[in-house]
Order: sequence, then structure tokens, then C-alpha cells
Amino acid sequence: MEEKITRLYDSELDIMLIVWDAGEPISSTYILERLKGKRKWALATLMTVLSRLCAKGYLACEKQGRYNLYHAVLPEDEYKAFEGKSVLERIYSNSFQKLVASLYNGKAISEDDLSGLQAFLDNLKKEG
Amino acid sequence: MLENVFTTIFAVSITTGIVILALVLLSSRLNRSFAAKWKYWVWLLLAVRLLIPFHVTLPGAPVQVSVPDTAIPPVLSPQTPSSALPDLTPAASELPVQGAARSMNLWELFSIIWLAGVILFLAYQLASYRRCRHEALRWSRAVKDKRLYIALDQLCAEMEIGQKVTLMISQKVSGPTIIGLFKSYLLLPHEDYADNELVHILRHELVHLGRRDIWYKLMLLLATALHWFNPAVHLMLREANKDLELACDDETIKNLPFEERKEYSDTIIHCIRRQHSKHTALSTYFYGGEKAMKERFVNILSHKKKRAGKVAGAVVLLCVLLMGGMVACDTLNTPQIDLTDYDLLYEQYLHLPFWSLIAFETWDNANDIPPDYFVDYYAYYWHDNHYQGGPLDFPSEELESYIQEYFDVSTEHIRMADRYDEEKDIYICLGLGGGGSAKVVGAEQNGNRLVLDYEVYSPEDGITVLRIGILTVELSGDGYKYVANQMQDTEAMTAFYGEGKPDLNDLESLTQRYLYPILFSWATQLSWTGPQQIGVDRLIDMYGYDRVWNANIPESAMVFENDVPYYYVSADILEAHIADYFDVSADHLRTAEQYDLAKNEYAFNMSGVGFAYDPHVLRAEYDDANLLLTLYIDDGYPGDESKEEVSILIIQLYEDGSFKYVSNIYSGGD
Repeated sequence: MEEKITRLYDSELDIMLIVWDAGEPISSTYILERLKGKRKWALATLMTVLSRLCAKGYLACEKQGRYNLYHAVLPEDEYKAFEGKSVLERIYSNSFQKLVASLYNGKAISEDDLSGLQAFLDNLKKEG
Repeated sequence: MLENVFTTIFAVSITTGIVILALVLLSSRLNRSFAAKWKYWVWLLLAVRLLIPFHVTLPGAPVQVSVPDTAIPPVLSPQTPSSALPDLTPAASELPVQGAARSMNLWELFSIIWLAGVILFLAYQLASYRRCRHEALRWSRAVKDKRLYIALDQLCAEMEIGQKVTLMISQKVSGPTIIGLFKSYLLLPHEDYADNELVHILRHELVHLGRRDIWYKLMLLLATALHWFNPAVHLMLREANKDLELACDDETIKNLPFEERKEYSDTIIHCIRRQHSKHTALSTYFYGGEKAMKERFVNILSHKKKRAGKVAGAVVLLCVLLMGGMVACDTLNTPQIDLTDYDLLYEQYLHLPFWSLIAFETWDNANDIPPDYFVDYYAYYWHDNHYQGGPLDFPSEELESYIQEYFDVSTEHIRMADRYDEEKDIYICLGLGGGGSAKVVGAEQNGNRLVLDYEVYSPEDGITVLRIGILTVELSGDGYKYVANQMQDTEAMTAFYGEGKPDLNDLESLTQRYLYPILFSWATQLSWTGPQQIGVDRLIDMYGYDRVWNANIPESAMVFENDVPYYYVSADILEAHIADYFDVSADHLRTAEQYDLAKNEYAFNMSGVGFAYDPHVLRAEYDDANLLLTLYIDDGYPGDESKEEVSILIIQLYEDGSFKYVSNIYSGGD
């Protein structure tokens, strides 16, 4: 990646998430299929966004027989680090917890706590 | 306005805060898990309570929380209006008002700070929620593994969840999470779960969804926003969120065998562990999570013992209700009134309506009160507080604006008073007086409504209750208004003023009631069969009875002509008085010498007022069919003890208690 990274549009990120998750070159039909749960796009729309991502240098397109196969040029970790976790977001996420229903408050338990908890749980089980 | 809202919120905050603290203390003695299910609802109840800016006063509550209400100026200086003494120190009554202005500014400042806090709190919470929600959804993708959809559909059907939920994978959540108030999303950090793990996770989240826990959390958050200054409410928020998880766990593992509950606990630990291995470096952790987590595991694994929970829950609930009942809140924007000091209540609220006769009418709209009563109302007020001699004439605006402070009455209505002089634009008060006395005998305050029960006593003995009344006063921050009055005659009243037979044996009452009014005319010393035969001058002298009865004319109101005191009385008043006792036309009365056509007044000779002679009713007869009362009367000259019947006075009684003189036969000396 030589060019400077810019923030991805929501639609672009949706595609990148699928490409990153696949971990291997994938076809546009595969992407369209995977998008279904979130976006109902026509193939033409997808192709527009794909070509834009290629033009930006985030994706690369290879011809394999009749198909165009896409793979990520921009590594997932690198982009995540770019968007990163702003200080603001870290503060925000605490109050976010006040308006969502989670299995557990992920922010409330440290690594040390976790070992303690495991031991505690094992003890409880023995008694039970 | 804002102050009123704030002071109410403040009062609600304090009282509810006490309940919260009591509940936290109380439930810490119980096993948390026993109480969680019940407290879950109690917190919601308290949150709703906190969100409603009304406070209910429970009468007779043992604990009264009252915030000193410095902002209310005294409405009437509580001096005894022993009318004869004019108020020489008007400046004294202004002092408390200045103090009030200062403290009002302080409350104003507090309420502005409070409002700013609420706005900031809400703005911050809303902004952070929206940002996090957006981030979580932006980084979300559809689920790859169809197994997850199937499991979700199955569980939704099994648990009878009606709401729709969209399942997504998002790296931005640290654990399985439900978000969205209207459109719900279930976000998982990844999709590599074992089958049994997946069921536990989904079930837990679906319980949250089915109970609409996000709305629950929103209610609590809003309550916290309104009461951001109250640590007890923040404590409640924390406790409620913990209880919410415990209650949700309970529901999730309901009826599950121990093995599966163990599995459920393992799933939670496993999820957290996985989360940690992913990005430990960036995460920050808050203290206190471990303890809460341990409580959860104990709760989950010791599920069997929970049958006792119902008893414990009932105890907790009962305690909350008791506490709520014990703590009543009074007066912030409504003044604290000493409901036991009946004398003070009389002075403040009943004295003027009583003397002005406003308390003698039944009304719930001030525009139904006879307008002349308002003139009297102001006249008495003025007389009690400012009178320094001179006639009681009042500029119309002065009187009207004062009256309208205490009554919702239109200016037009007051101006219909006979005593309104349109030409001069003033109200003329001819004199004050009245009979009887009244006392407050009961008082009750409902919010800003003060309801006074009072009794009106007979002018004769001051003990017999002639009327009972209920006066309703609406209190507001800076004063009060009379809103209604109910007046009812007692049986004693009926006996006193007629209706039914007069008591023929009670000669003293018969004398006072039926003989005294006519005495001043000396008409019992004449024979006549109609008022025309009495002589106009004598009839007019009857007005003296009214003057003696209401003897309160200041000397300054009299005019001396050749050392004879005259009292000038308007034609209307005098003629009305005579017409109470005789069927006589105003035209006839106006042929009298005392009538001054130019002024439309009578010059009433006050020197004749007083009992020069003292006749008595010796016996009486009553014609039931015609309502005719016949009185046999003695001469009544001082020193004459003969008790000889010299006059036979016949009186027509009426159903309403009024009466008129019909005729007299005099058989005495010349």
C-alpha cells in the first residue's frame, strides 16, 4: 500500500469485510450472495463499488477463466488500525453499554479477573 | 415555571432516593439472586416515579419531607384585625417579601443548572449511543453460517418472541449484544460457536429482547438524566443493570438441569476469554466486573434454591410500599400550612370572606358572588390594615386589582355592585358591620388545595351553630385564590330564622327576633292595619335597628347638625331594609322629610338609636294555616313592671324565614 489510506464508505466497508473474511480470492456472485443479509444490491451496483475499490487500490481483480476474482490489497489489520479506536470511542463505549443488552459487559472484566473467575466457577461446580 | 418543575423534581428525588437507599440496604441482607427478579420490577416502578414530576401528599404520613419554602411571602399580615386599631406599621409587612426575592433567585439559579445538566447528560448519552450503534452496524456483515439462522428461528418460535431481530456479525461488539429500540439487531462478535454455546447465547439475548430490556434501560437512563444530581439514582441505575442481568439469567436457565446451567456459565467465560485473546491491547477494563460476575455464576448454579425467592421478593416489595407510604413529600411550590392552627387559618383565609358575606353563599365560580360583597371584602381588608379615619371610598382599579388577586372574577361583574359610582369611578362603602362569629373547625390540604371546614355561630349566644361551610382555597407560589364555597344551614338555623313554627314558649327569642326590628318606629304604640297608617318618619326610624345591630359606624361618618348626629344613608339601602319588614313602596318612603332628593339619600337621625324603652312579648299565638304570628306585648316603659298586655302585633311569616308586619292594636295610654 503506497497510497494514503482514506476512510471507506459504509458500502465499501461492507464489501471489504466479506473479502477479508473469505481469506481467498472470491467472485462477485459470492460477494452478492454474502451481502444479502445486509444489503439487497443489483449486480450492477456491486460492480460499480467493486471497480471503485479497485481504482482506489484497496482491491485487486484477477481474471480466472470466465470469472473475475477479487482479493484484498489493503490488509484488514492495517485498515482497522487506521480507523482505530479513537479515545472518544473508548469513552463512548462505556455509556453504550447502558442502552444495549449484552451477554456480559466485555469492558468490565480484566485478564486477571478472568482467571479468578474460572477458578471460582470450577469450585462452584465441584460443590454442585 | 422552571423553578416549579425543578423543586418538584427535587422533592421527588429526595423521597424516592430514600426508598432506593433503603431498598439497596435491605436487599443486601438478602441473597441478591433471590431478590433480583422482584427488584427488576421495583426499579422500573421507581424509575417511572422519578420521571413523573408530580408529588403526591399522603395525609398523615409519619415522615414529612419538606423543603423550607422561603419564596412565599405572607399573604396577609397575621395581625388580629380587631378592627378598631388601625395598622400603624405597614412597613413591617414588606420585609419578608424582600427576603423572598433573594431566595427565589437562588432557586432560579439551581433550576437553570439542573436543566443544563439534564440537557448535557442526555446529549452525551444520546451522542455516544448513536456513534457506537453506527460503528457497530457499519462494521457488521451478514452471517455466513446458515446454522445460526436456523437456531435463531427455532428459538424465537420456542420462546414465542414476537419481535423481529436481524442477526449480524460485527467485530465492534465485545460480546453478543442486542441493540436498537425500534429495529432490533442481534450482533455477535464472530460466528464460530459450538452448537450448545450458540443456543445459550441466543436464548439469553432473546430473553432480553422479549422483555424489551432496552426500553427498560432507556427508562432508567432517562430517570438518571432528570436526577443526575442524585447519587442514589446513579446507584439505582447500577443496581438495576446488575439485577437486569441476573433476572435475565434466571429466565434463560429456567427449568434447566444443573449440567446445562454449568454449560451456560462456561459459555459466558469462554466468550469473554475469546474476546480477550482477540484484542487485549486496546481494551480498557473497569473495576468491579469480577464481583458482579461471581454473583452471576452463583445465581446461575444455585438455581434450585430459588423457590424461597418469592417470599423474599414479597418482603422486599412490601418494604418498598411501606417506605413509599411513610415518606410523603410536602410543599415546595405549595406553601406549608399549619393545618392545626385554626385561629391563624381563620385570620388568613376566612376572616374577610366571612365578614364580607362571601362565605355565606354557595358558589364555585367567583362570578356568581353578589358583586357588593367584593366591595365589602376590600373595605374590611382596608379597614383592618390601613384605616385611619375618613370615608371608605376606593378608586375602582385599586379595589378591582386587589379582589382579582384572590378571586377569578371579571371587572364587569364587580362593577355591577350597587356601590360602584360610575361617574367618579369609585366604590363607596357606607359602613361596615355584621353579626355573629365563625371559626375554622377543620382543615385539609390536597396538593395546592386547601379546604377549610368552618362553623358560623349565632349572634345571640356565639355557641349555637347556625351554618356550616366548606371554603376551598387554591394556593400558589405567591398567593392564593378562593375557588369555591359551600354553605349549609343547620337545624338550629332553621329554628333561629323560621321555617316551621316559631317556639311560642321562648318569649325572649320572640322578642328579639320579631319585636326588636319594629321598636325604633314606636309603631307598637299605635293601632294600624298597614304601613301607610304608621307615618313615613316612623318607618324610616326602623333603620335604626339595622344600625344598632351592626353598630359599627365610626363617628367620623356622622354629620352633626345642631348637635344632632345624622348618618347619611343611600336611599337604596334604607329602602331595602324597610321593605324587609313592610310592604311599602319606595315612593311612599320618599315623601319623608329625611329624604334628600338631590343626593338620593336619607338623613338618618342617630340620636334616636338605642333602646329607650324595653317592651317584651308576654305571650304568643300562631296560626299554622295562615302562618300568622300574634304577639301580646307590654308597654315597656322604664319602671313599668305591670306586664300588662297593651299591644297585639300580628306578623305574617314566610316559608323562607322572613316575615312582615301586618297590623297592630294598641290599647295603652295616649
